[in-house]
Order: sequence, then structure tokens, then C-alpha cells
Amino acid sequence: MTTLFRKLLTTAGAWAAATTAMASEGPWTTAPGLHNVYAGLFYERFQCFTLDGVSDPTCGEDAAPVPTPVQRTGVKLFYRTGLTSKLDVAASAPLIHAFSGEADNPDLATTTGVGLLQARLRRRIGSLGPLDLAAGAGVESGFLHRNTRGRITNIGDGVTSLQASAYAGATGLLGPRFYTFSTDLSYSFRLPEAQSDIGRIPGDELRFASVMLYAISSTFGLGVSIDGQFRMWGEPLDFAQLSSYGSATDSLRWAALDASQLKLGSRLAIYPSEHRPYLQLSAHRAIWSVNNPTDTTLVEVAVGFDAGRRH
Amino acid sequence: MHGTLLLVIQLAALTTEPIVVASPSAQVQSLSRKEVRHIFTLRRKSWSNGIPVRIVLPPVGSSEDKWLSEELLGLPPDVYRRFLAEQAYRRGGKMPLRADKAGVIKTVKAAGSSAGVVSVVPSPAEPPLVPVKIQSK
Repeated sequence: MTTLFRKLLTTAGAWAAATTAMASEGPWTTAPGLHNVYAGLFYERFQCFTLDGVSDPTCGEDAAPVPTPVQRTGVKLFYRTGLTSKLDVAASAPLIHAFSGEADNPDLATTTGVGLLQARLRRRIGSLGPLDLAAGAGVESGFLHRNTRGRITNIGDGVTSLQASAYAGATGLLGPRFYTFSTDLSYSFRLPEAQSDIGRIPGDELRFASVMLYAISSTFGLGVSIDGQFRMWGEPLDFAQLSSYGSATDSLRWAALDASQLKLGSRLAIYPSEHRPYLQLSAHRAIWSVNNPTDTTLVEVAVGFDAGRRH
Repeated sequence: MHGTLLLVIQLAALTTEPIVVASPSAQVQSLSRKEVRHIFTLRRKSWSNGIPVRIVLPPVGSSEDKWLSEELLGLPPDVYRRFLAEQAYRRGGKMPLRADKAGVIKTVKAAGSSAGVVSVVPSPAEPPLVPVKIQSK
């Protein structure tokens, strides 16, 4: 049983680091001269993951628990500024601390480092009815954590990728209040590191993040959000096959796995005022997974403020 | 006698509904409620003759501000102000001008051109602004 758990635990680490802090930006580019800075603190935890044919009282059907929860906490910094009235640029960098109850195990060693570095350009391309639209291109890399990416307590799968993104959003009146809706859709071309029978490894990903926020007063907004990541291809959940991609050190095993996850969450926003920055509290929970944790819980607190003046 | 007359005038002022006004260059005599909502929520950017819409909001806390928010848009005034701030932020624009107690015309003159102005003022209209009839549909 311990061996099974060990294998299961190994699988559970697969992809969770990629789940942190996705958020819909929408199509609204930052004005030139303005500098948006966001800082977020997050905490993530999971203990169950998908496993066909297994049933567990805690994790439910087709899911199994790991003996020790895997947890991540960290801070994410995000910066955005306008280049022209329709073009802006953004970059983000998370600092992550991953740990479990078995720090002596090399697979579960405590890991602290820089997560996925991201940068992107976004351009407004007009409107379609009430929807504002934008398109973007980006790059992201996990090169700073490649040497720990094989761990279960990883802080990312170490892959470098290029993104093409589409953004849509709308604001309007709804009853006696107003709403803001935005959705981001990205295709991520992940630079190949190996070749398999099923294609280049790692497989590409389709990602989306969407949020609908309703202003319940002039100070508070309340809403729902949904984030999804879908790997287009990857290795099946076969321990022997995955082990061919390496182990706890210098491993491509998590990037190679065919894995997807969908999270649903809620968000409370406190709008900024002259004396207060923008504040946001959000909580997400996995609602669907393939070869991934089924019970990922992610809580984030973020603060945002602007510097500079519109040109 | 003077006191009674003053009271009557004050009551008349209290019961007179504010009106939507526009500068003559906007060439608009009437608007539907939907059009008014689109204008004051920044969705409509130009008049039918191509002149940009320039919104001048009534002073904060005035009866015109309250009428615009509650009667025309169906929003509490503070929520409307938050909505405008969000729109301006997200669309990279600026907040609409807000009239001071000197009036809309003095405010827009101080800011430059008065072409394409639309606002809400106490009735009767402040010349040269002209009243815009709001159609019920």
C-alpha cells in the first residue's frame, strides 16, 4: 500500500505548480504613462488526484489520496504599463515555497524559488457589439526552477513556451448595479524537449481564465471566476513510462503527462479610492481534473495600485 | 407676502425635474432612454453628425446628479461614480468633466471647446444649451 501511495503521490505532484495565480486581464490596455503594480499572496493545497478505478471515502470515485498534503505558498508580482493608447506590456514573477509533511524524502523536499516568469504584449483590436477585444503574444519560462522540476514539491515544470492570446470583455449596467466581464484564451506552444510516440514533449496547452464581477456597492464587487488548463497531448498515467523522463532531479516527467484541470472560484474586490489601493480576495477549487489533483484549493489576496499619470 | 412668494418659488424649484441638455452642435432634439443610457455610460462616443460626445456631469450631490443616476440610469449616484471610474480606467480614457456650481457652460468654456456637450441641468436650460426631449421608448 505504501508503494502505491508513493506512486500516487508522485503522480499528484504532476502539474499543480502550473495552477497558481491565473487571472483574467481582459482586453483593456493600460494607458501610456500609467504603471499598474499588483502583488498577491497565495496559498494552495491538494491531497487527492484522479486515478481511474479507485474509490476513496475522502476523495470520491476515480480518485485517491496521498498520505501527506502538498502545499504551496508564495507571492506573485505583476507589472503592466501602456506603450501606446492601444498597446501595453506586462511581466510577472512568482516566488514560491512548496512543502509537504515528508521533507526528508527527495521527492518531497521543501522547495523555494522563482516560479514561472511571464511577459506579454497586448493590443486592443476594437469592439464587437458590447465586447471589447484584444490580442496578445507572450513568452514564459521556468528555467530558474528546472533543477527542482522533477520533485513532487516542484514550483513548476521548468518549460519555456510561447503564447498567442485573445482577450474579450464587457462592462455594463445590470439592474441597479454594473458588471464587468472578461475572458482570456491562450494557446501555449511549449518548446520541445523530447520526442515521443505521441508527439513532441511537452505537449501544447490551451488555457482560459474568465471572471464576472458584479458591483454590489460603490466599494465592493463580488463575482465568480473560472480557470482552465488543458494539455493537448501527453503521456498517459503510466508510472513506468513517466519514469523514463527522469526522477526527482532533472526530470521532464510532469511536463510530459497528459494533464488538465478546471477550477471554479469566487472573488471579492474592494475598489480603490483616494486613500486605499485596489484589494482582492479570491478562492478557487478544482472541479474537474485529468491526471491532476481533484481537490486543489487556492486562496489569494492581492493588492493593486497605479503609479504615474496618463499621457 | 414676500415669505409666501419665496416659499412658492422654492417649492416650484423643488418639484421641477432636471432636464437633459446638449450644445447646438450636437444637432439633437430628442433621444430615447436607451440612447441616454448609452451616452451617460460612455458607450456612445459620437453624435450622429460625427461630433464627439462630451459629457459634463452635474455637481456631486446635486439634485441633477441624483436625477441622472437614479431616474435616467437606475443606479445609486455613488455606484454610477464608481462605474464611470471603472470605465475610464479600463478604457484608458479620462473621467467626464464635472460641472461646478458656476454652471455647465462656464465649466466647459474653462476646459476649452463646448462642441458636442451633453449634460443635465436644472430646468430651464442654460443658454446656449438646448433641451433634449427624452422619449419614453
